[in-house]
Amino acid sequence: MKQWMVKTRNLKKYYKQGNYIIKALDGVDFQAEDGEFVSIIGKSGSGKSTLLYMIGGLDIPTEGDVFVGGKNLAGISREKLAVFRRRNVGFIFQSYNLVPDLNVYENIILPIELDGAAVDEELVDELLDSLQLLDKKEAMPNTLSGGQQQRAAIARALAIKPLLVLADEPTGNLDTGTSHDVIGLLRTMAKRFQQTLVVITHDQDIAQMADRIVHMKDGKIVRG
Amino acid sequence: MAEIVIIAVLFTGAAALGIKYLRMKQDIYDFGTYLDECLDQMIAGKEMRRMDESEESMWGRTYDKLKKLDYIWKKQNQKNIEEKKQMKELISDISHQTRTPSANMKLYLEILTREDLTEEERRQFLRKIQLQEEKLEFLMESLVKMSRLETGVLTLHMELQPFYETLVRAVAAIVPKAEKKKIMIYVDCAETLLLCHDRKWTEEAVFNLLDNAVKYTEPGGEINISAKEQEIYTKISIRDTGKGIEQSRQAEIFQRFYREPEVSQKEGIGIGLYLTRKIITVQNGYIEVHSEPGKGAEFQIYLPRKEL
Repeated sequence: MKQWMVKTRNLKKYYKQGNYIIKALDGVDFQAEDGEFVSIIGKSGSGKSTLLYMIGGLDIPTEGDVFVGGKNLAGISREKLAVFRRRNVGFIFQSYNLVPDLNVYENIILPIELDGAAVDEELVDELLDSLQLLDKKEAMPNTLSGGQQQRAAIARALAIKPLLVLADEPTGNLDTGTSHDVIGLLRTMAKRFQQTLVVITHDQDIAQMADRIVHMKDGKIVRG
Repeated sequence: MAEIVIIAVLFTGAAALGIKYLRMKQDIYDFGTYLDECLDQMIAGKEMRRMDESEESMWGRTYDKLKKLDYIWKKQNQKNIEEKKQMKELISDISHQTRTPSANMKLYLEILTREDLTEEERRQFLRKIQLQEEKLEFLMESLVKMSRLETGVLTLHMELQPFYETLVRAVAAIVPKAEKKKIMIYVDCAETLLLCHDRKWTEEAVFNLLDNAVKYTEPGGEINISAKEQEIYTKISIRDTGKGIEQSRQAEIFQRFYREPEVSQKEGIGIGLYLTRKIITVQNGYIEVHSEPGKGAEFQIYLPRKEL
């Protein structure tokens, strides 16, 4: 029996804009296997970010189901969704989203402290070491390069020991060499901790680093 | 009057405390019962009872972690089964691959025992047997390497050392073949470039890529090798001017025993790239291919500069 970490069924998300209905997602059946690294590629407006937000429980679908780790996210309340997200999903964004007033270490442990759980200091150090940020533990985000900031964001996403890691254009603000560095590290880490990794990108080279590529167009999966 | 009020207040306070105490006791008791129940289900390998874990309570958090643990265990179990299956496939692949050369040898030997052969014919068959034997030997060598990598018995000697020397060894080994086809090899790598890597296996990986480059490049072509440091990884690129690889096949070429249909005449058994990728991934690196048919191919190896 195959375990699906993520599985969506006939997923739809419609927005109303004036008299028009925008179909951001129009019947998407997406799957990601346990421990798989899937990249989603498509132009802006193809619905790839919307799909990622649905999988991560950041948004509620108009219709259809979203199963993550066997749990259906469609139809549970926003508060419960928030708790689910905090404990099970690691997010990485294009703009890093580090809190500017906190140093690297404080940023990393923030989601753990929000959940009221104990911080696994050993894991945090291991993450910092692997992501080559150990000497930047006390540094403030604005003193770091783009690549370093994104690595700090990766550490923050992984520190909650998520089952699922979602990244939305994680290399959008980075140059080619640094992009490869970041995705390479992300992949190595995800494999080590047996996490399922879904990365959104419009960069063909980045997409090819995944185990599988899914192409999206006009709110639908066209290939993959 | 005042006394009655004070007593009433005290009494209410005590009652409230009492109720709170009882409730807390109940909570702790429930926590214990739930935990016990869940652990029992886990031990029995049964599906854990569905509870509403998305709660901000102590039990909510613990239940969530238990579920994660249960999930990881099941996954690990599945992985073990998967690995066993892969091992089985490997063994069946090996027996399949060795069958052809050994059957051929048997056939040639039978022919050789016939008496009506001329000296020239005999020599021809002996040469054929020799070729099959070489193939078998090469196959065996590769299979030993493969099984070592596959079963994880391999120990890597990771050391921070100049990559240049590793590269020189691999290039030196390919030069005779390249010379025969008049293929030029250009190397752009700083002698001082330090990289944490296993020399023997990395040399093998680079050699395999060079071997392919020479094999699939027409006489008079060229191969460019470069090594450059990035922030985290060192990028080693091997670019040839050969026939290139179709996009749709670029993922498949790394699979065990994969041969491109139109090259089945050329020597090789289709494990060079497979081995190369294995060698790179056990060192926490990764490999990429960029190619278009007719425009050559570029293989890029990325190895972490420091041990990850």
